Order: sequence, then structure tokens, then C-alpha cells
Amino acid sequence: MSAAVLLCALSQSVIACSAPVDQAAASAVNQGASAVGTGVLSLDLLAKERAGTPVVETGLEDMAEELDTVRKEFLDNVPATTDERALHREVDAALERAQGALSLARQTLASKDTSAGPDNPPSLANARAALAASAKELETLRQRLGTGR
Amino acid sequence: MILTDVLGSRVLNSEGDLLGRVADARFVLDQPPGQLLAGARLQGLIVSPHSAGSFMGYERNDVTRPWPIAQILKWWHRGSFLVLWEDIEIMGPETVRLREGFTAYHPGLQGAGPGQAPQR
Amino acid sequence: MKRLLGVALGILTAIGGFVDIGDLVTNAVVGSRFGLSLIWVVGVGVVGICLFANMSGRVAAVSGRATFEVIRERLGPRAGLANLGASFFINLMTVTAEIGGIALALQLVTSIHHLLWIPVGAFAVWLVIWRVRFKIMENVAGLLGLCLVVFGVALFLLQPDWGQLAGQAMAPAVPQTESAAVYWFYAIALFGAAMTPYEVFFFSSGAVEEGWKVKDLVQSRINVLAGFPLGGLLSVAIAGCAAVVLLPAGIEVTSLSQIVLPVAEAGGKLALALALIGILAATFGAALETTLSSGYTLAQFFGWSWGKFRRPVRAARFHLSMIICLVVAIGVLATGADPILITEYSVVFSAVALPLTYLPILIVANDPQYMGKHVNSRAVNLAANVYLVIILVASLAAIPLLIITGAGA
Repeated sequence: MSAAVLLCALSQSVIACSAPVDQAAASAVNQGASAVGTGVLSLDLLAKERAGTPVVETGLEDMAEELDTVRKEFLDNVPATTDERALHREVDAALERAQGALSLARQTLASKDTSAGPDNPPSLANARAALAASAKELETLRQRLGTGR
Repeated sequence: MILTDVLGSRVLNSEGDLLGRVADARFVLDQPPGQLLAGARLQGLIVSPHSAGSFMGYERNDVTRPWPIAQILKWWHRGSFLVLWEDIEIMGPETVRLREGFTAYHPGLQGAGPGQAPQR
Repeated sequence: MKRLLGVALGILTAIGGFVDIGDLVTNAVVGSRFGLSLIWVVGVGVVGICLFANMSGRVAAVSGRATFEVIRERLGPRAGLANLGASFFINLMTVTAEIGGIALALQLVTSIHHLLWIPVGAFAVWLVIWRVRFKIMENVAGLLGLCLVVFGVALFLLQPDWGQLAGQAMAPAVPQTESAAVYWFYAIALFGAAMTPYEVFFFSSGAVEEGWKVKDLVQSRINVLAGFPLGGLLSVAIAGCAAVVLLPAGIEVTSLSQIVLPVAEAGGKLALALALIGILAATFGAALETTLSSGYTLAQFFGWSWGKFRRPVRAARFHLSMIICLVVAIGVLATGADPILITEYSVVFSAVALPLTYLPILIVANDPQYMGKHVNSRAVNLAANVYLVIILVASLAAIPLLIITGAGA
């Protein structure tokens, strides 16, 4: 039993700290793009009334959690050279924008849920546009960096 | 002493040479009937020179399938033998010492079932 | 007529009972990352579980002994105990994953956080095990699990490029975005998901619960040989949906909420609702089976009286051990451990532990003293030996690959 726990811990730490910055960047971008892509797809399904709010809400929550973890793990990497620092900043900024887009989407959904009234609720279309922009940015980065595998 | 103490013990002859390890104990059900079964009498120990692991049922001569597992397990326990209780001098927790001039019987059981007398 | 109905019911529950959280997650992850290029593994796994369940069911029906009674008798106390330890630990991990799966599915229905559903799910599992008759329990969960057929319907509604899908499935290759080690790691995970050991503990103990005799062997064989392959097709459909919708969008499955998106895309809210019912039934059914399996393995090894056919007071230790397992599962999940991650580890460790139960069953299925004239035929032994090699290779390769790939990350 302890051996298995040890193995889990070991493999988790391998994921966390072994990769050089460019590989960590690629992997973070890949996961970020996946999370934001899920957000876009979920909002599309909601708009087309193909999925109910609970599923979309849960999906966005899961993706927000995932992005938080991804960004936190990425920030554990310390860049050494100037090039690495530039890449590090670029990827972190993209991940931050992704987090922003996702939380906008979640707020929109929550305010729609509680029908917050007419005091200018953020519209789903805006949230989708923000997510789509983030998805595009991360996708471009992914094309450049690969998946880091 | 319980059986677990004996299984895996080193088996020595009267000169102290290592013959193998205790792989199994063999009982005969020839005592007066008990609650579930007839009472069991320890007939002797199975000594295996290469492994103290289980025979997994392949001590019975007629069980030869599936190939190659049966063959591998029989090979694993090659050279093993049965010593009768009368031929055991000391049965300690770590080592079992045999009497001088003990008889090594063939460990196989005849047929697919248990209970036949050992043959030489 | 009644007999025919019995056969149909048996097949249907076998289909619905085949898929559990491990199959759901692993197939969706693999579909979203590898398309159908790993789907051949499901075929290998399904044939393997048919073979294994056929042997253990036959042993149970002919000799009246379930899997761990056989292991205890054949391996002796010490090797048997090591075997029990490993098998029990992995089974407990699977219980945890299934309960987590129930909670995640309920979150998708209600959007109430899954941590709050965990005690509810575990309590419901205990209540059913305590109160509901074996046959009813098995049939209801299996039949509701059939709602997962909606994944197959969704795949058709998505109108995929069938040629491309067939190409991926027929000529498997490692995608450019993945490495070979990761590919083989997921091959083992899929194999472990299809051939989870608990299915066999449960199947053979269920045979004893239902009092199978030699004359029931034909029906059991039909259930296995028709039900499991069709259940395997459900797995393929889950992977197919992910491959058609999620793979092109660059979405890699890491949560249960992503698995149902293709179904919503294809069939809208109705299909989504069916998928959620199916997932809930599949995880709940599997939670029942794995929890019972943990009781079965312990009780069979230590010689306690066991079985749902006895009143709980007549099998107290059996029921108590299951309650403890459920409490442990709640405790593990309460730490906030991700149920999906637990699932991914549980299927890999299932593959690691598989030889421990497979080998004793293979040996006993050949033992004329137990089996009389119902020993394995030559053809079955040939196939069983081929699978012994596959199972050993998967078992030995699993942990090195787990470490090299960082659990497939």
C-alpha cells in the first residue's frame, strides 16, 4: 500500500519538476488550450440549448480548477536564460488571460442562474468571445511549442 | 508450534548438511471421526531442495495441465522428497534435523485425488 | 419462454454492467488523445475478460468455490495472504474511484459540488448492499447502465468520417503529438480497465450467490460471450465520441464533465440526460460490485460466512468489512483527491495485479479433482496461455511505464 502511494507521489513529482522550461511551457499551453477549448464547446452547447446549466457549470468549474493547477505548476519552473524568461512571461500571461476568460464565463453563468436582474449582467456572448480569443492565442502558442511530449 | 513456524524451515541431515526447505506437510485422515472430518495425523514433511514455495496442487502425479505451468512447477520442485514423522529427529522453529539413515520417499500423490500411501 | 427471457436479461445486464468509471474515463481519455488508434486494446481486453470470467464462472459452478477460496486453497496461507493484500488494496482503490464517480455524476446533474455527494453515494451503496436482494440489485443497475448505449447513438448522429475512424482503428500508429511510451502506458491502462480483477471476483462469487450448478453453465457462457463483447462496443463508442468531437478541438479529457460533451453535441439535452443516467447507473452498479468484492475476497480468504443470500446477522464480519471499506473510501475522497486521477491509477494497478488472480484460476480450471470432466479444453488452454503471457507482460511493464511517462501526462 505504501509502495503504491509512494509511486503516485513519485510520478506526480516527476510531472511537476523534471521538465526544462520550454517543455514545461509546451505542456502548460497544451493543458490550458484543452481547458479553454472545453469552455468554448460548453458555452456553444449551452447557447444551442443542447446542454443544461448544471453540466456546463460543472465543466467550467472543473476547467477553472485545472487551469489554476496548471498555472501554479508552471510558475514553479524558474527560467534561467533571457530567452526562457521571455517565453515564461509570454506563457504565463496567456494562462492568466485564460483564467480571466473562464472566470468571466462562470460569473455570467452564475448571474444568469440567480437572475441577477437588469443591472447590466455580463452576456454569455461576451464570455464566449473572451474564451475564443484565449483559445486562439493558446492554439497559436501550441502550434509553435508542440505538446511537450 | 503451528504449521507456519515449520514451513520454509531449513532441513538438515544428521551430519548437518543442508538438504532443502520444508515446502509442505502431509497429513493422513485415519483417526476417529471428528466434527467435520476424521482426525488428521501428521505423516511427514515434504522437503524441496530448490524452493519452499507451494506445489500449487502439482504434487499429484496425474495433474499435468495446463502445459507449461505444470511442467515448470514440477521442475521447480525437482528432487523434493517426503520424510516420515518417525525419521525426524528435531523439529525446531528454524531448522528440522533428520535421523541418520532416514528414508526419502517420492513426494507424489497417486491419482488426481489425495490419500494414497507414499511409494518409494 | 421464461428461459429465453432469462438469457436476454442476463446478456443485457452483462452489457450494462461491463462499463464502470475506469472504462468511461480511460476510453474517453484515450479517444481524445489517440483517436481510435488504441481501440485494438479494448478487443484484446474483452477477449481476455471473456476467457477469465468463463474459467472462474465454471470453477464456481462446478466446484462451488469462489475465486479467493480457490486462491487460499491452492497458494497456501502465506502466498495467499500476499495475493489477498495486493488484490484487496487495488479493489479498495476501485471502490474509491467508483464512489467518486457517483459523486461526479451527481454533480453533473445538480451542480452541487461532488464532495457533498460522496457520503450520500456511499450511504446509498451500503443501503442497497444491506437491504436489496442480489438478483434485483444486479439487474436494475445493469439495465439502467444500458442507457450508455446513447454514446453509440451519438457517434452515429455526429456523422463522423467513418473511413478516417476505420483507418485509425485498423492501422494503429502513435500520433505525432504523443510519445511511444505514453501510447503503451495507455494501452496497459485500457487493458486494465477492460480486465479489472473485481469483475472476476464478483462474477464467481455471484455464481455462488445465485447457486449456479453445472446445468447453468450454458447460460453463463452465453451471458459472458454475448454481454461482454457488446459492453466492449460501448467502450469503443465512448472513445469514438471523444475522438470525433474532442480530439479535433484539442481537448484532452481530464474530467467527467468533458466525457458527456460529445453526447450533448450530437443529441442535445435528452441524449445528455440518458448519458448521465447511464453513467450514474454504471458507477453505482460498479460501486456495489466492488464493495461486495472487497467483502467477498476477505471473507473467502479467512473462511468467514459470506454472501447476500444470508441475512446480514449471519454474515456479520462480511458486512462489517464492507462498511469499513466504504468508510475508508469516503475518507480518501474527503481529502479532496481527484476521483479521475484515482481512477487512472486504479486501472493501471489492476493490470499490475491481474496475474495474481489469473494464474490460480487457470490452474484450478485444469484440476480434475475440482472440475471433473469440466476441465479446460485444449483450445481454452491455448488461448489462456497466450493471455497469461500478455497479462504478465502488461503487469511487468505497467510500473516502469507509469514512472517514465509521469502517469501519461
